[in-house]
Amino acid sequence: MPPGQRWRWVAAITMLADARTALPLGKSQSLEVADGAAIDDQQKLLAQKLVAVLQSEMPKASDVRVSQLVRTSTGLSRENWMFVAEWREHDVIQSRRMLLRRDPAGSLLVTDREREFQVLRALETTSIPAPPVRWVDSAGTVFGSPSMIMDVVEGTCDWFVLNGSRPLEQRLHLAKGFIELLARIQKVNVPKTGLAQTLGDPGKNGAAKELGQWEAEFRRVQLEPLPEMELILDWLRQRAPVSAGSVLVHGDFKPGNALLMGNEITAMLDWETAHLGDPLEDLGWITNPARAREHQIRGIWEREQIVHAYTKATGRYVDPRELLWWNVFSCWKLSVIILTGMHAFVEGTLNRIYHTPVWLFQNMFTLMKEAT
Amino acid sequence: MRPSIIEQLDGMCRVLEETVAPEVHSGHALEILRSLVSNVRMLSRNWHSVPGFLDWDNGVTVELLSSARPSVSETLRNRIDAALAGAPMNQTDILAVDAFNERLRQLTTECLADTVMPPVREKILQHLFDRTTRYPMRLSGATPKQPS
Repeated sequence: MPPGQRWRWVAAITMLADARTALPLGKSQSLEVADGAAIDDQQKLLAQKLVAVLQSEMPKASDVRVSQLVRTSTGLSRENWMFVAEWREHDVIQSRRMLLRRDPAGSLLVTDREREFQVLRALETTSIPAPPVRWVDSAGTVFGSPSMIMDVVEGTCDWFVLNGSRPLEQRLHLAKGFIELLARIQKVNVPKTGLAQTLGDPGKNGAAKELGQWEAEFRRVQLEPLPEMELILDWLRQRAPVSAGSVLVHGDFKPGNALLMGNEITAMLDWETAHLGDPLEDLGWITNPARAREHQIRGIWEREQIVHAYTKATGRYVDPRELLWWNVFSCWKLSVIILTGMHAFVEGTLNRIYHTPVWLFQNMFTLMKEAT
Repeated sequence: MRPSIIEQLDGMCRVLEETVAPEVHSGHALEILRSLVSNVRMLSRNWHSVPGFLDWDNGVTVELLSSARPSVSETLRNRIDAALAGAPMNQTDILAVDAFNERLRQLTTECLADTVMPPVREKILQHLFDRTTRYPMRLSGATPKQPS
């Protein structure tokens, strides 16, 4: 097959395609898969399951079709499958671009789809731009592993947009937009959305709770002695701040998890590590020197300007020592995420190779020196 | 010994990029293939630094553990003694040298949690920092480069 030629597979499904799904397919349902590549049986099966789920969840729909199913290379922690769903409802043809977000066998992050689904559903009642969710398969009964289906929000994702080819004025506008969005996330009315029930509220112990959770993950995935990680963990434990309050924390707030249309942010994605916690946690992630290329514009939008914009948007005073603690924590957490990837690769469940994050160790040692 | 290890690894990258990659039409699979090629290139560049790195790290760590020895608990002191007595005789046995490195780093962790004296502790910290600058197996670029 010549490169670029799109291979299409069309099949009418006339009966129960897969006994494991226990979801019957109607006579008029069909699926098309377009991946630009030969479609394997696993992919056909996935498409069949999607048709079955759509039909099951939308009893008034008929002529359900799934087309253009393709696994995207974005998203390092979950399998993301884009597709177009079409169906007829009240004699009107509906069409939506959707995304199946499925847990892989191995990942950088071990997170809960049901929890992410509940967060996204709660956000639908707010002004926070996030993808609308449709269905969740928490136990993986249908798709083989925990999964959820959401609508695709239009926009492009660019990890390094703040240091890309756009004019400086636009990049600065976006940089400010990200901080304003962070402030809006922190202003989400948690009791009203029910997020406290879903996520649990650590109150003033946000730092200690996060540290404890990531330490448990570190112990689970550690492959070798890492005195650097132990030393820094001890430093973090001894200095964990008491939180001023509890807000909604995204957990991985970055341009790489945002969709853009022109100069506007159309959606914040990847809410899998969202939780209630310290207001400075996401700010610590953003001002983390190890991720400066993603979050900062040298000489113009650095720590000082970001903190100033954050204070202006939230009215919160930022204690430099506490922020520095969150910077170190961010690096430590990211180290654990990378170690999780290493562990999954070695056990044969992840197909990307990761190495001991010594560059993060360097950053943390330097930050710790600054703190003394 | 031809093709050399570097020639073999670089050659694998060439074949994967020139012959295999054009036949891979799935964007996801292509991204994975690229990341694997990047890793093989990193191995080609750095594999020969690994024995020297381990030799240097083991040498410094043995010195540090010997310095820490008098101020730590008796149990840990005995374990340090046992580990140092079990140092590999043949420094070209890379697997044995690597295993020894792991034992030394475990003991370093325990020393930091023990009552090691501040001057020795500072030297250990300095060595851990130096180690990060000399570590040979490092690959960045796990994040997508292009907007998607």
